[in-house]
Amino acid sequence: MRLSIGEGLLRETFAVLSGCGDGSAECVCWWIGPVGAPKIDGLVHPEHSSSPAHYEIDDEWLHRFWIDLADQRHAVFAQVHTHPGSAYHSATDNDFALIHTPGFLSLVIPNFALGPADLTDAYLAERDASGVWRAVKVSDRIELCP
Amino acid sequence: MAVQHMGKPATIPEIKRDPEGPRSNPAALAPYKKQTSSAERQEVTAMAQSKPPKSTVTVVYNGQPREVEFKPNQKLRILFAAALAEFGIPSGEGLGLFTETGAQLDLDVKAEDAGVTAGGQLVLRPIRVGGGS
Repeated sequence: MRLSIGEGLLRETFAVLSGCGDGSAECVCWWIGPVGAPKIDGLVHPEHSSSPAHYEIDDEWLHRFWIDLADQRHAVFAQVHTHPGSAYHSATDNDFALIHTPGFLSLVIPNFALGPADLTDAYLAERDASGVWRAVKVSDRIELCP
Repeated sequence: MAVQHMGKPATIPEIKRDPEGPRSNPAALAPYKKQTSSAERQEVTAMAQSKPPKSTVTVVYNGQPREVEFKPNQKLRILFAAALAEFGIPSGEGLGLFTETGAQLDLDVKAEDAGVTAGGQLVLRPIRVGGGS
């Protein structure tokens, strides 16, 4: 599966991540789109707690969001979160990701997303058919649209 | 081995008569009984083949509602496994079943004891979501 996302939405993602984390805390956003159509048409910034080395979603908020998502016939196709330094998929990222179905993408942005709004230094992982995370090339899975 | 039918001389089988008459031999009365109509036979067949209606619940996961069958007297763990299969989720680790109001259900409790009823809705979602470096 290859996600299609507008450059404007990518810039907005970086703005939210860097603004929320403010150079001192991790942050997370989710890319959503219509169920069955991997075209990203929305950005969700969930309620979360965070520190320089972690983030965690508020459970009550998550539950409400989950039901709203079904009402809107939308699905989360990718999670995007920041790391303070280099981008990689940590054991915590593996174990506590949002979606458990094969093909789900997890994008990690380095340096609290304070750099340019592009995916040059980003790390992308994908759940495979057995549920294990595998590194994949960003350009193989994400298509940026003007 | 193929069965071969050999030609036999035509003989008339001996008719065995019941000495007490047809009343002691119900088969002998069969031609006189009321014939079952086609509609009646279909009704009987349908009754024999009918099963109790299957219980289903709607399970919501990542924006998608799906119908999942369950038996009220079975543990929710079975419904949970069926939901995972329905959504193509290879492992249920870190996931839970929740009521619409957000209460997590104990998977070792029977569906009927947990208040899960046919036509209801359940939420399949991660128990905890986070990340870290």
